[in-house]
Amino acid sequence: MRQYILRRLLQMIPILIGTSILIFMIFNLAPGDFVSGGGGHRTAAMEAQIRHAKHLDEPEIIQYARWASQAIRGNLGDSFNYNKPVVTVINTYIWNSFILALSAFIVSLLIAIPMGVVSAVKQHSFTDSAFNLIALVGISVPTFFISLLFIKWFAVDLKLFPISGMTEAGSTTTGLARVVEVAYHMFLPFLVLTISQLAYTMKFVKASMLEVIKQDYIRTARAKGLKEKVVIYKHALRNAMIPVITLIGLSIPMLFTGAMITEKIFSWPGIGYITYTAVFVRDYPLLMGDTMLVAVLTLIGNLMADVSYALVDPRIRLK
Amino acid sequence: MKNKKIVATLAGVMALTFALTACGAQGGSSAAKSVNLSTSLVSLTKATDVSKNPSEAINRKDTIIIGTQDVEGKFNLFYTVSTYEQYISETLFDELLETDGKGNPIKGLADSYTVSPDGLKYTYKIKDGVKFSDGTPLTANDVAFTFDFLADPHYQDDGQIDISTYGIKGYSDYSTAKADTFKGVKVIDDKTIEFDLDAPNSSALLEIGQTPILSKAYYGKDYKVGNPKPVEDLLNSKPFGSGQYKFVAYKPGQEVDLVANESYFKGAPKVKNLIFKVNDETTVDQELGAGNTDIDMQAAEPEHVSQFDYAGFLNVYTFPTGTSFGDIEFNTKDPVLSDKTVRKAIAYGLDRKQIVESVYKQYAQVINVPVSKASWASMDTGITDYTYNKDKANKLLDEAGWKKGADGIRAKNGVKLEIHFLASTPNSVNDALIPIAKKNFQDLGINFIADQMEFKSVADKVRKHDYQMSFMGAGQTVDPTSDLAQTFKTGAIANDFQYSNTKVDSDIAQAYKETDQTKRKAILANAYKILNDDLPSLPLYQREDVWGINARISGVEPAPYRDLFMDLYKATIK
Repeated sequence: MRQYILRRLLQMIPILIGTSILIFMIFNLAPGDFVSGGGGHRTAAMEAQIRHAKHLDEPEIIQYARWASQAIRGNLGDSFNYNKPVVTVINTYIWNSFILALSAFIVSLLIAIPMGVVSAVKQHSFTDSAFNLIALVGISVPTFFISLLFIKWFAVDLKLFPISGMTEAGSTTTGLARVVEVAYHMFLPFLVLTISQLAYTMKFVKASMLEVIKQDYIRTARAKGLKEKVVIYKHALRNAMIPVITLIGLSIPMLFTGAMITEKIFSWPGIGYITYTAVFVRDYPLLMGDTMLVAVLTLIGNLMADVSYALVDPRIRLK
Repeated sequence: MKNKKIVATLAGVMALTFALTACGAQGGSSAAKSVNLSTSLVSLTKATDVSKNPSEAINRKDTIIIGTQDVEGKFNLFYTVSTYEQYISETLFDELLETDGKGNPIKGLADSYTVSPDGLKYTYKIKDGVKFSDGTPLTANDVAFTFDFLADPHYQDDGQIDISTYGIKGYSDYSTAKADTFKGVKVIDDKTIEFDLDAPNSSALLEIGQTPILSKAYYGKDYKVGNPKPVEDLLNSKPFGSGQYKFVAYKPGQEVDLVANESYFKGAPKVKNLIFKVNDETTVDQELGAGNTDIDMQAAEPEHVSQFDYAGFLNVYTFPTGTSFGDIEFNTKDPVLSDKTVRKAIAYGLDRKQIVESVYKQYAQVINVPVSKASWASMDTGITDYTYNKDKANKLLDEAGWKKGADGIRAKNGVKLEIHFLASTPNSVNDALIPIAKKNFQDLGINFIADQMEFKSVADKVRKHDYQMSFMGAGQTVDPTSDLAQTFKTGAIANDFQYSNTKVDSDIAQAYKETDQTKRKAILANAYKILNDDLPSLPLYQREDVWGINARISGVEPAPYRDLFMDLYKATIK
């Protein structure tokens, strides 16, 4: 096992290098750069100076080499737009996205797993159809729409929750009061994200559960005279959870990418909208930094999923 | 079977609920009277029912909360391009001169100024008793420092203010590190600063005058010429100035907190605290309507205006924006569009009124000259209206030699008349324009093809002249002369049309020399008339902004050329 993990970690290095080259090339393929189309009344000389200061007038290979040699030493450069180190910019916003995404992720799992199990066990029942309907709504209705709808119902009409923002304007709360305030402001975007994730996860769990229930050993367990509850929750569920573990591992990078639309509408200061704007203004250092972060997390998440899969399923031997 | 039916019904009910949420209480018909303010084209609809003011707002007695967007932590004119950050900058810093609501120069830090008869020397006298927010006096040395900084050889690596076009003597040598003093900026005494120009430039009065002034002691402490980073870092993290309010804190992505500057030279602000709270454009109406923000604005569209009116406790202002208008750009070197007759045909053959009304309804008007309706230079006599006229357009195309073929598409010398329209997306104007243009051009026998891509790609292609026709918002300043020079002068950087007309160039040069505004207006009018005939661009619309201000706040009003943020020190809360 240890050898396997080590080998996978070493493999990450060439993969990350290749990824960074690919991402850099793709970003440069889009027409325009940080300087184009901006600042109305700039002279050509000024634009040339800005390009020169940001090395945008050098051949792309040189620009990449410059970025890579700094990145290896942990320096991701300065954001063109914020004029601050990329690491600082990302660090300012990413944890806000993380707490929102993590809460939604955990709760959606806690709800989706039982829902999926019940749906599979009681297939074709009213409950199953109702759950399917909820899932369908969660998958088809855009988050944009659900967000605005919840704002209207719960914030404007019922005045139960704030319309937007992470804290009250001018808030000076600290400690526990601050935590409560943030949680209160987080509730609606959290609800939106939970509902949209719940739908996918529920269907996933249901499918996995159905697969397992069809297996011969489940029939054997029943034939042995075990109680149905034991059959389902002790035998079937455990095996059905294996793909779900993989899903969790693969979802780890998503916790750090930010839900762009939801964050934007709720003015939740997360990394999602920052990255989105960075694409539009061609803020290459910020984009490279952010994308490489997600790449690293994806590789680690994949590794964790594979390792935990092997730990949980004795049939798997990792080579 | 039965439960399938129940579920199906449930599904139907849910779908219907979603559909119906789209309807629902629209902004009610506000019969509130519209008042035309005397200052400019501002329309005011007063609050109809202040008792509706939410308790959140009423209980806020010493704080004004302003809704804002696009805050990236650079709230100073030196480094930001965001209009919202400019508003914050206006509360932190002062300028030698300011403009009134119509764009005319008025006193700022300077209570007098003189221009030498030859137009080469501008002298500003700073008012007595002006202090920075820490009580230290603001002097001509601070003004000189500010301009030295702006001319720093590396300021323009990141900076957004470009003083190279002001024409101040010695700029070129100082900004390329060939000289170690900025010769054209002279400190005469503590209160008097003089600027010498290379050539007369009527725009210089406001260009120089409207520069925010930095404290030499504060920003100059660790500053060495050639390395503006220490100043940049201070400006973008702990800005300090002489302005109405002092910077307290910035919560990234959330809010900017400010507190009153008791030693403000025009008088201490009456409201102690100012908060610029970040909210998204989709929640502006709701936040204002819930009393969570006191002041905010939108592009004037019927849904926003009616939402503002519907609240009942907001004073609602609408007026034409001074900062932009929309126009359609032509690449005049394109083989098809180089023919003026074809451009005129398009002007007559495109139903601009329909496009503009479908996006902005009554809150925008079609314009025919490239200048904002709010500007003192605006004119509408002696020009062609290009009112939609299909027959005229067709006739012009016939004259230009494009004959309609059997398939209805025109052709000349075996080449079909096809026009590619570069459209940025997302963009509500392009969304309305494309289908209407397609239909209009079909009637004219032109094959209209829309190429949609995101903004930067369009901007880049247009700048490289790799396009035929495109829609752009044209950013404007308070000075129409420099706007013209940047856009329509031969070889100007924003001259995406590759347009060149020596008459326009000489009008622009003359306008720069003319210090009398009335005479300048006539010179600019000449240029506009030529542009109206040559049509390097086809002006599309002048739209309006709508501002909502909570009725318990009085003393401030928005105007096209004077942001209300310049006067927040006068605001009072009832």
